[in-house]
Amino acid sequence: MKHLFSLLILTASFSAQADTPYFGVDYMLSDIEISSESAKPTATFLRAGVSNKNMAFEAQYLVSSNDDDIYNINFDIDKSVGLYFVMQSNIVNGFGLDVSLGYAKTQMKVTSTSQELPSDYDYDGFAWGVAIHQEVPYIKNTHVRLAYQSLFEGDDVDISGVTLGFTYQF
Amino acid sequence: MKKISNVTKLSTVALIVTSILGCGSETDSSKLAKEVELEKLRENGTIIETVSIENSQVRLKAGETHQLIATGIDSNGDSRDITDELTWQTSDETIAKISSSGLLTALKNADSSQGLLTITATTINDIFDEEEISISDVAASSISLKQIAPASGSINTCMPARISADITYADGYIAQNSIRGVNFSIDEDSTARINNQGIIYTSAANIENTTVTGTINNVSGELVVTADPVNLESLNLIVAEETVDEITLNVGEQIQLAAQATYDESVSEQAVNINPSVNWSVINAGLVGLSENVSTDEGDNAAILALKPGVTQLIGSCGPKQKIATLVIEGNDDLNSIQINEGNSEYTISSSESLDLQLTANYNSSPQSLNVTEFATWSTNDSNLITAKLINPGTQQAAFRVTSKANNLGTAVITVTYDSLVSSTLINIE
Repeated sequence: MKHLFSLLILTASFSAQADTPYFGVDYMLSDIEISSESAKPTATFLRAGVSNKNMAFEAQYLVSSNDDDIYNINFDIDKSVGLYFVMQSNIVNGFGLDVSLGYAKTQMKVTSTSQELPSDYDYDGFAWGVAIHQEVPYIKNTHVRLAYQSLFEGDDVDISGVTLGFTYQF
Repeated sequence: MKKISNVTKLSTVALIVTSILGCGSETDSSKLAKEVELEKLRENGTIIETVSIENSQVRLKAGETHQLIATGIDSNGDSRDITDELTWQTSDETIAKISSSGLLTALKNADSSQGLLTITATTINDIFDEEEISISDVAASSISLKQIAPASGSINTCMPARISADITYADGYIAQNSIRGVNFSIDEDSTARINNQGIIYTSAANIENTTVTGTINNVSGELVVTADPVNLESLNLIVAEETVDEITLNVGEQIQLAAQATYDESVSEQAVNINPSVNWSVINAGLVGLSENVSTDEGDNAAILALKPGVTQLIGSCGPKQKIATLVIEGNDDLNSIQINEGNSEYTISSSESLDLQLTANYNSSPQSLNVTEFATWSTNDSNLITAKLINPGTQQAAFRVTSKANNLGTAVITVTYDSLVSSTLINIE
């Protein structure tokens, strides 16, 4: 939690000079990898941030849309929150590339017939992503965005996903 | 001033991101990972219900290694090698350690009675087997050879059979079905061959008795094995995994040969690979080069290289049976010249150094050149200076390896003859 505070403080300092707030919504096809198997629940990503001179701070909030099974075990990303420092390329012909580094807290729910297996799992730690975006013609300040997002890489579980959505800059 | 501000920001960000990289926490998910693995096995019906360590009854000395093998029977009733699927443990890791793939390394000789150490192999669903292994330097006092496959009676001519041993040590420990450290040999009158794994290959046309001797630490034991061809019904020639009666090749083409034997149904309902037992020959040896006992991933095979166009017959024989296949070789053999390596007139090597010589046949038409090293006749004028052997037979990497003898200096002449053409080179040993 202390890391989130650190990032929030830094975000506040940037906000003082921030000139471009933005908001985004993405659909995420996530990938939970465990024991060489994979579950692919879906989720909705909400993003909000402020950018300043090719840098941005972004908060992300993920809510589950659908769950998925590995054999008889059900997996669902319950929710995930994260704060990211985003390095942004220059926009060339409306096209740009972002790389984000940050910290995410992700909660996963597991349902199985096993009595011994916990149902709630928390994965907190380093998260990163890479995104490409293209300005949408005729819709001012709006970009369509495709990204790969890694939420957690652990000893037994990796959580990542591919997102597709829109970003609107105010 | 703005630049300084940006540098400060970037440094701050870098520091925070770096601190994040090293931090994080997660709910222990090892049980979940195990449950997923179990579900996968249950779904496929391959969850192991019984496990047995196959080859633990051996004696090792400190510093030696031994690959343990475990077999499991799954919920489908199928048996499979599960060596890599187990958690392996030893009762004393100061005496021996064991890898996740079952490779046991003896670190020191055990002080316990007979040097016994317990090995445990456990499956993901907690099914386990425990066996004892011995780690001691007490020597063998006797060895008793026995047939393993078949377990008793005559062995079937041409079909590989397995010999093993029970080794009794001076402290009373008995290593059962162990070939570890045993050197096998057979009597000189037998046509059979045996390797260090205790696999015996037989090929006599009639019933043949072979005396197998196993030796360990100057202690020997003998076993008489009888090979009987009565159940051998036929031989098949296998090329590219197909049974064939005729083979068509172009000049320069090389293929691997293999043979299978069919036996009376009481012996085997399926054809048996008998490659190492087969004797191969070609009626017109000038048309093809025949390489026997070529080591391949599938074991010892034979290979043929088409050298000249024409039609001949390839014969594979084992026991009283033969398989004759027609061999058709197409193309041209307009031989122009032969050349040793790059064609140098002399080579220089040091004492005890080796040099690989390859003989290339150059043609006026396709194939432009061909490695004919193993089908040429090589000779040297001074065997006191060098020794020579053929390496990589049956492949296009075949070479005549010349090695100079230690402390002998001088010049040896290597002469090679192929298809009436002669070439030579000098080997200077300095």
